[in-house]
Amino acid sequence: MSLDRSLPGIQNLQHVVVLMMENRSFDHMLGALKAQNSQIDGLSGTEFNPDNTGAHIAVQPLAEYQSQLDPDPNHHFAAVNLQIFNDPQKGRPLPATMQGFVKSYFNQQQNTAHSHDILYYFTPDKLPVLTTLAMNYAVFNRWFASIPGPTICNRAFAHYGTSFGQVSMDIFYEGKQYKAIYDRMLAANHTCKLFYYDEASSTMEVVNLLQNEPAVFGTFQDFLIACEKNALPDYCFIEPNYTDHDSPDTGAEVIACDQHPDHDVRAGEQFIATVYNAIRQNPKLWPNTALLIVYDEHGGIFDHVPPPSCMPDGFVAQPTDTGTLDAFHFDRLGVRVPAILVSPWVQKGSVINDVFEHACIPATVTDYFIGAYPNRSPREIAANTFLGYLSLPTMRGEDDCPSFAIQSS
Amino acid sequence: MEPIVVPAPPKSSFNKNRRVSDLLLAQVKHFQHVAHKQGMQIDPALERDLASEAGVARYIARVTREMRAQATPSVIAMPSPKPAAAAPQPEVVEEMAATQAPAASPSKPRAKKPKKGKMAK
Repeated sequence: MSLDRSLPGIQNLQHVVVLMMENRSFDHMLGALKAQNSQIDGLSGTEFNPDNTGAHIAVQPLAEYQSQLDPDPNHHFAAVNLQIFNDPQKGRPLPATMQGFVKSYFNQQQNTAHSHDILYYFTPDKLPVLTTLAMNYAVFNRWFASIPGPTICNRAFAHYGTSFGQVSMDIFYEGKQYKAIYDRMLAANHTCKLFYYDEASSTMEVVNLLQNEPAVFGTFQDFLIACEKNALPDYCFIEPNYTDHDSPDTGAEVIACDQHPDHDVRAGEQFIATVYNAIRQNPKLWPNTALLIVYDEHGGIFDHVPPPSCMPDGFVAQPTDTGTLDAFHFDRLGVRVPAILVSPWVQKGSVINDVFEHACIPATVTDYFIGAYPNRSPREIAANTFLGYLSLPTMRGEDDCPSFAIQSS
Repeated sequence: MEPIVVPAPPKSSFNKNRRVSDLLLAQVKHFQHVAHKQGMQIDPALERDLASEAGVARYIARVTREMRAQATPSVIAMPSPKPAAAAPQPEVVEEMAATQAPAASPSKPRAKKPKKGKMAK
């Protein structure tokens, strides 16, 4: 939608911050919220998948923070094909029934009981941060992964508006024709940073950006300092910590906070809260910043909403790349993921039903900060933008916007 | 509104010896590609110890530091977009500094009047 720049929230907007977490589906994290807000397209409890015996297994609110989704559920292209179409080899015109998740997880260990865990979802009390943000700001009912595949190619859409024809995590996009959003911002005299957690976690964006433009990067500590010093760039992208490791600087234990299975989900909740608090608690940042919290892909975990078709991005992945009988024309999206837009200019309890995916991120940032920019993928050019939801006529008051107290371990 | 308490994971959640996921294996592969392409001299012991999250983290830290150290002024200087105006000299983008002066708050949307010559520091 065309942005109304007369909106007070837009007149004040100086910073866009995107935090992209890992590998959890919408229903798994936010599905239970349908009971609190019927507009949220979550779970009624009757959704099910057949298991390998043919039994119909219903979704259950039994998700735990850790140890259930081990082994890591398969989320490569062919496995996601099975999850969506109930067939690992063929996609459309088969109907997208979303009935293949349990079978897909069964394939990994041949364990019938364990395969049911893929249908488990969190009760809201277990996710105080995500639940609070979803209920107090704007939740997207229709934010999908950009492709039905794994992390690195999905994250590419957030940086480039395309994955340059990749559906796997192979090395790619060196010397490609579309510039990353960071290059565009710098060329247009805007500031931007891609903040990874620390050097030991680093970035998933290594083959092009870290290799060629290392100055675009900073650490999470840099982000916190920038918030404190009112020196936040115009656009920031934040990556969580991808590993349990000892800090390269201090030797202290640093727990993974990306929520990728089998990392403890609570660490990710604390990380999200830390990012939010850094903005929320700075009175010079809070009125002027839009924060998008989104997940890169569903991680092989159940969601009940069939992904829609989308504008192709001009690339084709061959069957040898997809691992199925079909070529992939980047004309349909991946599985739904949690996405929440945070700002004091967003109506409390908003539920957004337009279709979004990760190409909407560079589309939004380009539209807002740069303006007309034709040299982008067709997917990105057609993508919706999200800043128009900063639509309140007056900013919400202090007491109307939550904050978090992060417990130390 | 009282702050909402966010509990910490127990210490037992931390497992740096956890076997690496496909994602981390792919990340390592990407790092190895760049390290080899740039002729980096990486301790072979680091390259052998990639089965656990801790081992991957050590390797990635080493290569990341090497790549960040390559951030030189010539790589990151910006050309002036409006040569007709009295454009400022391109500024060197340095490591994010805690002493960076705050940017002036614009009174109009950024898309209409982008700031000139200001680089992220």
